[in-house]
Amino acid sequence: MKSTLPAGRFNIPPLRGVRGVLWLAAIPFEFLVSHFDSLRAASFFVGNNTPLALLKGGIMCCLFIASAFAQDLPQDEVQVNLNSYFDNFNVQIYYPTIAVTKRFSDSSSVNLRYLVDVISAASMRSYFAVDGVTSATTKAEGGGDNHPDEVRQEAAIGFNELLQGGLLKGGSFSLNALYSREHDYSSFTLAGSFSYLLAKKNTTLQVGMVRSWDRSFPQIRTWTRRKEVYTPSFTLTQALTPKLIAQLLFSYNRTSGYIGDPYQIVQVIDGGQVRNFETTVPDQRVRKAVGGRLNYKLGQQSALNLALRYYWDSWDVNSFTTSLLWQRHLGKAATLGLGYRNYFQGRAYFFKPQYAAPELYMTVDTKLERGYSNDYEIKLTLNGGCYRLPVLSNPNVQLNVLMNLYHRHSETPDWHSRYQDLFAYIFSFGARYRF
Amino acid sequence: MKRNLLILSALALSALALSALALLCAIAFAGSNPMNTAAPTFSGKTAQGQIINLADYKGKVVLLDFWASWCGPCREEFPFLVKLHEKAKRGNFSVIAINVDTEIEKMKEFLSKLEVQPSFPVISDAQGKIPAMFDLKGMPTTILIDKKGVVRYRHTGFTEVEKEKLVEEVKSLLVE
Amino acid sequence: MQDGRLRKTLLLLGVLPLAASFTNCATVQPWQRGELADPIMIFNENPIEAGINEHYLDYREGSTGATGAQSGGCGCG
Repeated sequence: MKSTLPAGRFNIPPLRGVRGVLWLAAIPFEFLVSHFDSLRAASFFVGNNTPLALLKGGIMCCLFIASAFAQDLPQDEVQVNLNSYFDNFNVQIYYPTIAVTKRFSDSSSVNLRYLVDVISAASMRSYFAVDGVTSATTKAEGGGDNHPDEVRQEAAIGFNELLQGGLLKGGSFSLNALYSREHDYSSFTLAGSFSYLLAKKNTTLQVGMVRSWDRSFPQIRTWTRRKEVYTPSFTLTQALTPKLIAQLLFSYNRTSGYIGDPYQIVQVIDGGQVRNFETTVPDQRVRKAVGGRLNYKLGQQSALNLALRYYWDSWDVNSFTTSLLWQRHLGKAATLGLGYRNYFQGRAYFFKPQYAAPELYMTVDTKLERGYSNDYEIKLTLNGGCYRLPVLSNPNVQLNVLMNLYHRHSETPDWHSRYQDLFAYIFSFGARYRF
Repeated sequence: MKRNLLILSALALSALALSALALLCAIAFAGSNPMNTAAPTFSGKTAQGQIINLADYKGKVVLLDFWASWCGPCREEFPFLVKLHEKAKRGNFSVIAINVDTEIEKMKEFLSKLEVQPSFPVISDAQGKIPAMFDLKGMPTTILIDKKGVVRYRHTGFTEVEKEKLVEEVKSLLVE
Repeated sequence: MQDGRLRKTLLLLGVLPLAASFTNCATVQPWQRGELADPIMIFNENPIEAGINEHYLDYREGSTGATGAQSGGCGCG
């Protein structure tokens, strides 16, 4: 590897502000990359990565080539994401993830994923502490509004296998197990899916099943309650023309057990007196959704993705989702994506803006109220090998920046913040490295 | 409830119809497999403008490789074919690669990054006329034609197993 | 949801792809997949990124499923 300059990470002095932060965030990743490079001298992408100019826009760039059809195994890859969420309800969430995929034979691959959610919220807990509306004890850990007060950890392992012989030749299956735990909740999930290709690989049929067992043990209560979910799904993907691909998705979800939110409080004004109740919802919910997606290639460089979804459930919530995503390659160096998503939903049959008397089912959950949301997305993918920048000088690297602006409006103000409108800002910075 | 049933049945029906359609297509596409029949004669042009006729290769064992720069296993197979060709070309063996990229630049870009350049012809067939003659099932497709011009082996996809099989098959065809 | 809108939805979801596939039944040959192999043509090309979006939407909205993305584990459904 010839290089007119020392290692890429020394090319640019530390920067202030956001760029500085990104630069700093890149250092551990750069270390990871160089470490892997030394292990794997023979890199799959053969080109050298001599930095010639900040943006070469030329032959060294590599577009990540994805496996378009389900019978291909995922590529060997390490992916790190730093994600954050902020909203006007004063909730902040930071959730870094790391995922590794590795093939271990022609037909098998394994993937590992780890995620941490750090939620900092002036949420229900402070509400209890301040208002003392229940006999709740304050949480043992965390506490203050400006400190991370809840941590969730999630670990998952997955296995993919291509079937190379027998009756189901050309099919593939995957199995995933996931365990998630936070101080008042735990969840174990098993997921399996089977894909089968037909019509010269123009058609992919996929059936899936997700099963999960959750336990809820809120610190403000003395009980532990269980929830079980099972979600069979069916997906059909059809290549319609060399530039158009369509997908039909159907999913069924049955949730049973304790489905409510133990931290939410229903206030009933009964004869001039305010009484507080726990939320109570039915102990079963059957949820169905059907979706259709189309992806159309516009010319050589851009693609337009249209997705529609209709959802309905046994609590009478129904919703309609439309989303559009336009993506365009900016030369070989980058890909830009602009997305818009619109969503509106109806109200659960037992949701009331105000309960005049105690009822069998009562909730204040905004998710069960009539409302709509709009989501604006901008994403930028930078392909390694095109830039004289730390990390990005390596053609096996891809950086992803994702930003979403989310607005949700509900007919009844949120029970806690008292706002009808939620504005959230989601930022994600990700790096993928193929080895 | 009634409405939900209606939606559900409509969806189930369309899903069923699509699946049935897919199955029909699968049957329709089963097509003729030209195994153990004479290979269709074709000619094509390389990036350098050289005309390649399959007919000129009679008396040689020919490995036809249908590939594209956008296909992952094809990119893995190509360097292996370069090696195989180097080893066996002194016998009566040749590789003919047929690239199906719609933009010839993409093929050139891929080739320019190879450590060892192929010494066999690489035909550019942007219209996909040659692969249509051979009724490909997937990419890459590797076809072995014996000295008499008969299609003897076909491989779809590329894995370590295919690699070993290909070497053995080339050997056996060369001693025929 | 009004019946008219519902009917339109069904039409879009079921009939359009169906009609399209009748006219184009498997005409995409293996060697014609160059455009479809482009990462921008893959549904949920980056499953982890899709999961990140799914994660906050699941927590804010009353619907789930049929997006092709998967998230889970949190007690927020």
